[in-house]
Amino acid sequence: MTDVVTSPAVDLQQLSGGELLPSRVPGETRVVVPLVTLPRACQVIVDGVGARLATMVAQDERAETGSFTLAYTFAIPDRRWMTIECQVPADSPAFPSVTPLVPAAHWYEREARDMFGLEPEGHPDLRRLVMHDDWPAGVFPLRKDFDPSIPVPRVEADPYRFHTLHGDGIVEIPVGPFHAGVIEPGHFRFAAVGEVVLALEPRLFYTHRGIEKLIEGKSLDHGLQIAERICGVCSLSHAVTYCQAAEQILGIEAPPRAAVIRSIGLELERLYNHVGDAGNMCAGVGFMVGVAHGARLKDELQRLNEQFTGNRFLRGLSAIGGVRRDLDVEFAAQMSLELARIAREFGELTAMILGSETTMERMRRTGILPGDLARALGVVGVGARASGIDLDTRRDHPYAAYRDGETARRRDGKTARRPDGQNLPPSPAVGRGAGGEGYSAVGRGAGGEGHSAGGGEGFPVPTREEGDVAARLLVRIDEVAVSFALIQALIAEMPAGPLIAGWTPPTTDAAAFSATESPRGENLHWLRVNAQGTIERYRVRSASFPNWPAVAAAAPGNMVPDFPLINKSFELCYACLDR
Amino acid sequence: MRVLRQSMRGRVGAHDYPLEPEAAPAAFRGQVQLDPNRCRGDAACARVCPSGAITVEETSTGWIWQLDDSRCVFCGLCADACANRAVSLSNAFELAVRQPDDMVTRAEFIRNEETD
Ligand code: SF4
Repeated sequence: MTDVVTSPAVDLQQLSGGELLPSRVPGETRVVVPLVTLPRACQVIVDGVGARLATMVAQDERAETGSFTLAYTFAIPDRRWMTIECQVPADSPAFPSVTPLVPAAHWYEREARDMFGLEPEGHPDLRRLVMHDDWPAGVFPLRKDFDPSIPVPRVEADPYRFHTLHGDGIVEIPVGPFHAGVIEPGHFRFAAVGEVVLALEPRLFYTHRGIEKLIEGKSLDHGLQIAERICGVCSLSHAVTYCQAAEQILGIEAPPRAAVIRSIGLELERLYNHVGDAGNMCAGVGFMVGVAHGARLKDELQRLNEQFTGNRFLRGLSAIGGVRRDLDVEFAAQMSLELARIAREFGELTAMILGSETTMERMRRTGILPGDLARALGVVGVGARASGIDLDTRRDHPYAAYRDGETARRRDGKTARRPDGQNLPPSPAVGRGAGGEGYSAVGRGAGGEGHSAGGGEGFPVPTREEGDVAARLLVRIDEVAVSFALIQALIAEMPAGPLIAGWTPPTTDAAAFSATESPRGENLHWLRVNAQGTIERYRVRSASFPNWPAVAAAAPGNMVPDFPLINKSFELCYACLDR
Repeated sequence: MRVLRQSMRGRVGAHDYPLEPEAAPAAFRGQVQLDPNRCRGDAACARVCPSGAITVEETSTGWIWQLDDSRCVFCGLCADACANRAVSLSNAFELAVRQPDDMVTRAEFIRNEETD
């Protein structure tokens, strides 16, 4: 049942000093270490092979093994995964914190403390994270003995203690959780001197829906309906991630046609998000023409989504084993033409934004996220790529139609043809123009040629070095070009065949995880089913989870009124952070 | 730009919804509909419904099919599950009502022994 790549796996195992466990996830090395050596083992993996902490899953296994389990999963740059597990005894629910050695673990461990009552010893910040002040002490919602059907009486408690700065002329500015706009709730506590932000502390997790608890005991099919609704704007990414995790447990694979349809849907999701975001970033500088055009193009893309899947947010497309909707030739041709037109109009919009010197000047050198800080926090997605970190789950852990050079082959101008008979451009226009307008195009030659890491050979991953708001805008603009070209290429070469693979509910206890690149970055879902075929534990780590601390880190040194712009440039989600 | 030019020539780019009604595309998954002539009361829809929006209750003479729109998430699993193609998702999306009770659709069936 294990898919572990043998020879390189030994290295990681030796490095960590742990004992090898079986895994169902391709490329995963899974080890168990004694509790005391946990932080050291994690640090060795991070320092030794440049691993990034991708998720941490706590489990209540007291009924079976008499202990809790913690599993830290790392993404290894060469397309592998590494999971380090340890057992936390039920009678002394505490573990040595990994955070002092691997800072990216900070929120994961605070969450495990809130939800499971596991004490991270030596963690520098032991305030509550997910559960807010009025939640009673000693009640841990993800423990198995917590019954969600019984209402929990709320308590009076000391209010949350923000970190405060003291000194002459320092003012504290509280913003939120209610905002002057239709956005989600979040509190931002600024410390400023005059216009300049000295420190920012966000307080989030106001939208806790208890999804991970709710899904326990549900069938895989019903679980999908919940997973699909974790987030509005990354619905399909979450659905596909969940389906892939379930498929690994079931030992099935989506047929080739379904894989292509999933990828088309995922790129449509990236498009409507990135196009809308490029417009919305203009709101941060009051460039309303850009906002209006972005919103208009986003709506046109969402109408395409609706015609394709019956839902503007692409819900109901992915199913366990494949997809529920086909993409027929006629509609594909129509979609191809529509997308070509929208791509043209988006080009006009970006020319307008990049040509507006006042707009660009506000974005340049604003909200800089330094690359080393981004790395330390385990940042993913656009935020990472704009700070010089070359990562993209589509290339690094390929799935659906991004797998094994398939996309590179499809993107090859010689074979790919649009339904209207025109040849596609040989490679998407990446890394070109966008940086042209007087903006130093540092990047890494983001163009198609350079990158051949892993199997998604030639899969273009635009990156930039500046780490500022402008860089995040430019990365998005480049990614939009990649997505448009990718969809056209996928449409041109749709494999025939079935849409869905059959399956029967699992009859053994099994766990797996899967990752996809959502518009906001890597989503990782960890899923475990029991012998009754229902969900035992589900852990969702959306892209927003590692990225929110980066927003706070990018704010100091900027003007307070630039914060909305900085926040928009990361474009994170409150709901999928909290679940 | 197309829209800018268009509106400069005096034509408004946007639809005047709701004064001008807007139709949903054919693929749209809107309000659940039951074809009473096809329903045989086997309750496949109720079993797959993830949110408990559909219930089918056996009675001494037949069955009662009931849909609560306020619970429905428009996933379409009920339509996929129905072997008799009695359940479908229509294009209706304007589902606002004045009374919560109006969210519920109820259909009572009398079993016809001869055809069943
Ligand atoms: S569409 Fe989904 S939620 Fe609505 S009634 Fe059918 S199965 Fe239930």
